[in-house]
Amino acid sequence: MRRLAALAGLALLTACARGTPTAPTEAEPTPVPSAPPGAPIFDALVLHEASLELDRSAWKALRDHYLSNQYYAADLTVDGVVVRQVGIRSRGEGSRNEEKPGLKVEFDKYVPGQELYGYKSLVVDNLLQDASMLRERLAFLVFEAMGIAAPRNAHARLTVNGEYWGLYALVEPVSKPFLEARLGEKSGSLFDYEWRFPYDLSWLGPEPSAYVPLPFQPETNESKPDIATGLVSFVQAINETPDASFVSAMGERIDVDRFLTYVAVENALAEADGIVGDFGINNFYLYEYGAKNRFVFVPWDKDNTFRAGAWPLYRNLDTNVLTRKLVADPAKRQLYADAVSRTVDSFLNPRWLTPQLEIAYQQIRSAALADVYKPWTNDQFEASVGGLRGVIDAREHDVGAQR
Amino acid sequence: MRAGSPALVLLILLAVTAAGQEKKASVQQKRNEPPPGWQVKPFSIENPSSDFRLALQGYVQADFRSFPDWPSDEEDGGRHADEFEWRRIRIGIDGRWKRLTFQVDVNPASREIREGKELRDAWLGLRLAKALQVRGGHMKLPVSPERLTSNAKTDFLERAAVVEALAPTRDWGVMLHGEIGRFLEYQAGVFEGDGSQSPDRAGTTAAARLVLRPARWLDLGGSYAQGEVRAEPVGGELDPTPKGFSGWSESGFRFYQPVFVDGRRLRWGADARIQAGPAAVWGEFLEGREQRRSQGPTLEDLPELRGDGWSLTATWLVTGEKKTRTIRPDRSLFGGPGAVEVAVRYQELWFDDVVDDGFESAGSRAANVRPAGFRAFTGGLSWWPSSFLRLMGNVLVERFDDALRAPEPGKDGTYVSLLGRVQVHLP
Repeated sequence: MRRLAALAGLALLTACARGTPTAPTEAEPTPVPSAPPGAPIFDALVLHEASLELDRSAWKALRDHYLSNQYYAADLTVDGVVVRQVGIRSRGEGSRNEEKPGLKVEFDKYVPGQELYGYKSLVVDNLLQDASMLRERLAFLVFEAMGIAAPRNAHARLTVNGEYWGLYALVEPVSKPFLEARLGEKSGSLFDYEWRFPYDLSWLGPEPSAYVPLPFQPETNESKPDIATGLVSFVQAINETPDASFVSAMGERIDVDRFLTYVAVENALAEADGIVGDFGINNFYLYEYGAKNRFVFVPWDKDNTFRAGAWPLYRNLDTNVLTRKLVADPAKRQLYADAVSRTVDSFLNPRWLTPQLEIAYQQIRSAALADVYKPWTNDQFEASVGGLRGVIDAREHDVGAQR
Repeated sequence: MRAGSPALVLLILLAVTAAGQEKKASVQQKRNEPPPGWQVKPFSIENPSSDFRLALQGYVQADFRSFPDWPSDEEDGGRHADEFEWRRIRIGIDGRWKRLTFQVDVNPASREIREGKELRDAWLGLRLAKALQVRGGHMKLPVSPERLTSNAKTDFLERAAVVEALAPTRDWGVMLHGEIGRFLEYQAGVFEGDGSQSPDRAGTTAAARLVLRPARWLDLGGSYAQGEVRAEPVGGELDPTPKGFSGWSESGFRFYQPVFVDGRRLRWGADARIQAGPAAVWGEFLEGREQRRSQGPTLEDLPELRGDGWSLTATWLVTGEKKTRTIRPDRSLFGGPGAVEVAVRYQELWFDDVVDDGFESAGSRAANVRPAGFRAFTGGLSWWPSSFLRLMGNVLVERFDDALRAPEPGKDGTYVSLLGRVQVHLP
C-alpha cells in the first residue's frame, strides 16, 4: 500500500509538472558487605516465574546447536514484566546442554539501550551440574556473609512458548551495575576468567596477548588498547616479587586479607573448581579498579561446592603462585586458617546455613520435581539435597578437628 | 574519522589556495609559459587543440551534529552526544584525451560503516559515440540518481535513508552508457558485486538505468539491479555475519539490523525530476528484495526480505542561480551574497518480510521479521559564498515506527537532530 502511495506520489509529481555509591579510596576499596536490595528478579525469597516467547524453530535451533553462540530474538517475561525482543543464546562451559539449555539473555542485542533494572544482560542458569540445584545459591550466601561481594541469584520456573522447561536460576551478571553497587565504582577493567588450560598465575611473558582476551576476557573497557597493562604488571609482580616483600607488595595490588578470606571460603565450602581448584584457577571475575592498579576477585559459578564433609584445611593452596606465596607468610597463613574457621563457625553450619537450605528447598522442590529436562531423577535430586545437609552438618567439626 | 590535523591543514590549504588562485591564475600562467595550445589553470591543465584535459579535484568536509532530543549514553562511547567530525577528505584527478576519459579519487578518511574505506572512483572510459560509451573500472552502479550524485553536491548533508539502505555503491565492472538524442540516456553494466568495500557485498551484479527526457524540464528515470548473495557458512571459528539490508536513519541511528540472506538480491527504482530555473522538485522510490534460502534457525528457507522507501525533495536557489549539479554563485561574497538555497525533503523507509505469520522477531534468522520503519522531514539551507566554499545546515525531524527500536527504547515520538557542515572544494 505504501509502495503504491509512493509511486502515486511520483506519478502525481510528474503529472503536475512543474543512584551513586562512594568510590573506593586510595587506601582501600571497600566492597559493600551484604547484597543491597535491588532488582526484584534476584530476590531469593520468591520463586520467580520467567517465560520466553519466540519462534518455535528458533528454540529448536538453539537446542540443536547448543554449542553455538547464535542469538535468537525472544520476548522475556519475569514476574509479569515483559522485555521484548531480547537476544538469547545457549551458554555455559560444562553445563551446555541440548535438552535444558542454559541461557544468556542480552536485553540490548536487538533493541539498542534496552535494560532491565539497569542490567543489559542476565544469566539463566540451567543448574545442570548440581543435582540439588541449591549449591550455588547457598555458596553465594556464605561468600556474602563473609564480606565477599558475590552475585545475587534466585530460582525461577521457566516456560518456553507456554511449555514448562524446568527449574532455572536467575543470576546477577557481574557487570557495571554489580560493580557500581558492590564495589563502589565501575570505571575500571573487568575480566571474566575463561578456563582454557590449567593456569596457576605464573608468568607467561610480557606480551598482553598471553593473557587477554584469553584466559582473561575483557568485559568492560574492551576497546581500551592498553587494557592488559595493569593485569600483566600484576602477574609479573606475583611472580617476580621476592618472598620477603611479597605480602607488602601484594598489598599494593589487592586487599590481601580479603583475598585470603575469599580463598578460605572456597575451601570451607569444599569447592574443587575455584581459585584453589583441582584444575588451575577458575570461576572468578577479576576487576581492576579504575586508574588505581588495584584488583579484586569476584566469585562466579559456584555449583561445584559442598563436595565433601571432610576437606583439607590447606587444600590446593600451593597450586597457584599467588596463594602459595601469600600463605608462606606465617601471619597470613594464620589469617587464612582463621578465616576458614570463622566461615564454618559463623555461617557454614547447621545453625545458620541449614535453615537457609530448608527455605530454599521448600521453595523449589515442586518445581524441581516437575522439571523433566533435568538430567537427574527426582530421587537423585532428593538424595543430593540430603547430601548437602550432611556436608553442612560436617564442615564445622571437620575444620575444628584440623586446627 | 575524528579530528585530525592533516585534514585541518588540507582544508586550510585548499581554501587559501583556491582563493589565491582565482586572482593569481593569470600571473602563474605567464610564469609557467606553457607551450602553444596548452593552458595551465589553477587546478587543471588543458590543450584544446589536442583535446587533452587533466584536472585535480577534491574537497574536505567538516561536520557538526547535535542531538537535542536523543538520549546520550556515555557508557556507550557517547552515542549521540554532540560531535564534530572530519567527515570526508576526497582527492583525485580526472582527465580526457581524445576519446579516452578517466577518473581516480580516494577518500583517505571516511566513516567506515556506511561508506567503505579509501578507494572511490578508478575508471577508464572510451567514447565511441555519444550514444555508445564504454567505462571500465571501479565506479558506482547505476541505480539511484541521488547515489550517482557526488557527496559534495547533494542537496542535504546526508543522502536519503532509502538510498543509503537500498542503492548499491561502487564496485569493479564494465558499463555501457550514452545519450540517444536529447530524450534518452542509458547506463547498463555488469559488476563484480554491488559494493566492493561493503561487508554485505553480493556476487556478480547486473545493473541498468534509463532516463527519459520528454521535456527539457522533466526527467523520468528507472533503475534495476540484480545479483546473488552468498551467506557465510555456519560452523566456522567465527559466527557468520548477516549480509542483509541494514536500516539507518538520516541522523545515523540504526533502526533495523540486517538478517541472514542467501540468494537473489534485487533492487529496482523509479524517479522523476522537474526543474525550472532556480527551483527543482524531485522524488525517488526504491525497493530491494533479498532471498533467504536455508537461513532459518533450522536451515529452512525463509520468506523474502523486503525493503522499500521513497523521498520527495524540493529546492529553491533564492539568489536566482540556475539549479544544476554544480552551483556557482552569480555574485560571490565580495561582490554579492553568494548563492543561497533552501531545501525540504520528506522520506520514508521500511523493512519487512513478505509474510506475517508467527512470532515477530528482530533476530537475524527471524522466520517472521518484525517490521521496522522510519520517516523523516529535513529542512536545509546551503550557502555558497564562493565557488569553492559551501556552508550547510540541516534540521532533521525523525520518527520511528517501532518505538521499541527507537533511539530511546519505547519512546514513540519525534527526534530532532541538527547538522552543520563546512565544505571546501576545488572549484
